[in-house]
Amino acid sequence: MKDSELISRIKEGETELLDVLIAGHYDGICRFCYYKTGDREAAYDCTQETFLHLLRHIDTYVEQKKFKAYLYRIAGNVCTDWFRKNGLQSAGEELLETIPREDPELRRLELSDGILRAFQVLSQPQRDVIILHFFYDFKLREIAQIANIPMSTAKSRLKQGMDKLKAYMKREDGYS
Amino acid sequence: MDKKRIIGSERKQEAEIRAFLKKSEQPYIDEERKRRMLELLRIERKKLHVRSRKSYAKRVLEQAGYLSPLAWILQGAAVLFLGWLIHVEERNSILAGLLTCAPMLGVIGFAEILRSYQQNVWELEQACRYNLRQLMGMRLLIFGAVDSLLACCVIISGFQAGIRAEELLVFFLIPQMLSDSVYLYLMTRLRQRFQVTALIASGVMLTMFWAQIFAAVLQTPQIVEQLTRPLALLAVLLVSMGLLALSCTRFLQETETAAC
Repeated sequence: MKDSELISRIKEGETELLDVLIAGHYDGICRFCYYKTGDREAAYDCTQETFLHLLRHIDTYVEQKKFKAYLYRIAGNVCTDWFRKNGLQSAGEELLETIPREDPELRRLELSDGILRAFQVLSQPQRDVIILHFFYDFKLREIAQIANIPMSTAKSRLKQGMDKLKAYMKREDGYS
Repeated sequence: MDKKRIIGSERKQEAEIRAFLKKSEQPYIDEERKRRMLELLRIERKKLHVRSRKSYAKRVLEQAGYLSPLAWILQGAAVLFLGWLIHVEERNSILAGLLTCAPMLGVIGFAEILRSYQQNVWELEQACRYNLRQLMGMRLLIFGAVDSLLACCVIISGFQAGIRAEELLVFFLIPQMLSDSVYLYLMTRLRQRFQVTALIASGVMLTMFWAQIFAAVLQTPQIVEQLTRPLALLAVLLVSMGLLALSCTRFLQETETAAC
């Protein structure tokens, strides 16, 4: 059953379908929180908080066939709150042009070494856009909604991120 | 040409990056932890009260789907019978037929409503999304609407057969409303003790009562003349409608405590 159909039936009172909706998005949200926080425990906490937020606010959600983007935006905000609560600074706009050589957050991620090193050449905002685009197949318009940025910014972050990844791949092992 | 080349190169670049990222392992999800969290979220979800945004009309139509096909068949048969009666019989027989049939129409609808109590379905229905009062209200509305439609058909057909509208009101609509009020009163007072057999028995008794009234009217035709005067007719009509509305309200209020 599609998300839009589930939402419409939930809105009509079939709240038990929320279980189906949550189970369907659980893995994706959990991995997204993991990519964002780089911490397994934090990822589980943020996932739980994301779905609790969804449950509390589902009544006010207006279906426009953008549920997935809406849910990932909640998850993104929950992760930002997690950074704030833990006194960590989530990389923001100001870091866009800097290239963090050694990102401690990434060290905690259990991605394969190649990807881990590749992600180190990206700033956090660029990494978010790359993850949403390549791992979750979101369109630029949806990425802009999730990250709460203009579409032009999302586009430029994606372009810059892709250029950096391409350059990294060329340097590393002859991807060209 | 250049634009095409740029787009082609971007696509190639995207495909290469996608292939490169595909090599990465997906972060591991602890299935046991996932199961526990989904359970916790299920508990939270059960506390949720999402206000149903389904329109009342849609809910009533949904309820209509649950009603027994027999009720609809009987309603259809009633329409056909009354149609035949109006077009075949002579005036006095039509009026007598309408008057004696009026209570039986209510029996069809109320039998369906009583079925819920007789089969103890109300226990299930109470646990459903809508409370028993809402369910009963919807069912009353469905049969009320069907009966109103039927009454309209009878009045139009009777009018075409040369019977005055006032007579149709006095001999059909008012007895029907009064009979329905009696059923609702009995259902409210006797609760689960008032079962379908009792309903049919009261229907038969009401039919006999209206037949007696008709016999009395035939002997003293001036009663009809007095009753069909605009003011008297309006007063009787208003009293019947008031009684029916009151009985419906009391019945619906009673359903709040019906399961106790």
